[in-house]
Amino acid sequence: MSDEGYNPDDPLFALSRSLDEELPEDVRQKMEEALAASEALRAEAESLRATDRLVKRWASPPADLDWGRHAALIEAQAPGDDSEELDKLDRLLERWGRTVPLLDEGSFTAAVMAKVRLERRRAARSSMLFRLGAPLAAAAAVAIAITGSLWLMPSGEPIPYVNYARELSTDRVDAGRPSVTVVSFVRTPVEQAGITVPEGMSFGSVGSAAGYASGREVLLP
Amino acid sequence: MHTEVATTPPAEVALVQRARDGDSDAFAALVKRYQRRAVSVAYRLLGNIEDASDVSQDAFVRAFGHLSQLDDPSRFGAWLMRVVSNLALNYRRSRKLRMASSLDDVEAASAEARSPSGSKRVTLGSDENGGPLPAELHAAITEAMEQLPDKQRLALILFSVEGMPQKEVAEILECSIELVKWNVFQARRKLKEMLEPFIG
Repeated sequence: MSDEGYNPDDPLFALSRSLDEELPEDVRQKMEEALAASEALRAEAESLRATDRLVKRWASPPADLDWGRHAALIEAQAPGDDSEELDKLDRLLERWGRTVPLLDEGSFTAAVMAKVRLERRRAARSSMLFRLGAPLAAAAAVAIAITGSLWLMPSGEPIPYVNYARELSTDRVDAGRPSVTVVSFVRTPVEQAGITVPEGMSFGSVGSAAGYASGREVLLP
Repeated sequence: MHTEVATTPPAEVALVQRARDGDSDAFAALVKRYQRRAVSVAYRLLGNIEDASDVSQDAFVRAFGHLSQLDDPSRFGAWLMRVVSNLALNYRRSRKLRMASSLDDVEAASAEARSPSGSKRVTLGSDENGGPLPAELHAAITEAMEQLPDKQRLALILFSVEGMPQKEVAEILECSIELVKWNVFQARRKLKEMLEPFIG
């Protein structure tokens, strides 16, 4: 919040406050002493009061004009039949009267509630999409993890589908570390891939999983 | 004009709580309660009723969507006005609104008022207690308000024009009551300088 040159001791600040509230006695006294001592300050103070009155009149709501009486008053004061001047005055008053345009409150409320209902429907749709989509996304993620594609093979070589087989016995791996055999449904024949198919498992073919040290066993983290 | 203790009626607190639970009828009642003030504040900031109405409607919709973030239902009014004010100021900055009267008209009016033979010079002493403002003066004040920094304009509009308690204005502007008073003073001082040709 702006505190541009904040000076609580400024006598005009005290005057501004006095327009809105009862000042503490010591503050009021200081202000009055300062005003009494300076004609320039008194002139400034009067201008400040005048400005405040102007702003309040500028902002005042339109009076409920009795247009009939208003017209009669003008007629009584207007010289002769200077209808052009009367028209100008009427237009001026009408413009002033539109200080704050009237609000169609019924329509405003209806418009707000229509927008609120729309937002609620949007929120409900998003929520439903999330409720349906999250499990699907999770299932897809699991499926990809299990049967992921490795697009790491150099061109010209068959791209393997990697499928995690069931866990091997420990005599095939580094002692103490479990692993699974990475096999695939790929087109490469077992003999060419050089991967040993563990006992109890049979696949049409196996392939290598790029990126693994042995290409045969994957050590689980 | 200003009541320093802004207490929220229990009925309104109940409405806010129901609206927070998704009761749209309760929210509609809150809309009816606050729409005039919301549109009035937006109008003072934006200068035309269509934009003020649009921004106010968006503010209400946004408020409904974020009611769960309102910890204290009794603060709904101030919280809503903050949403309205922020949206109106953002709208203003982004769209570079122009006020109804052009600057040329205001400058011409000011020049005429300053001229020795300016017959349209308004001295407040003669009609300060009532009567409509001349259109030129009204336009000059509107333009002068437009030139105030956002925070000072907002403080003046909320406090001096809309008559909100300083405590509530401080909540809306997220500052101390002292700074609300200071900004109101700064706004008045700047307006005084800009409206000098019109002040007796």
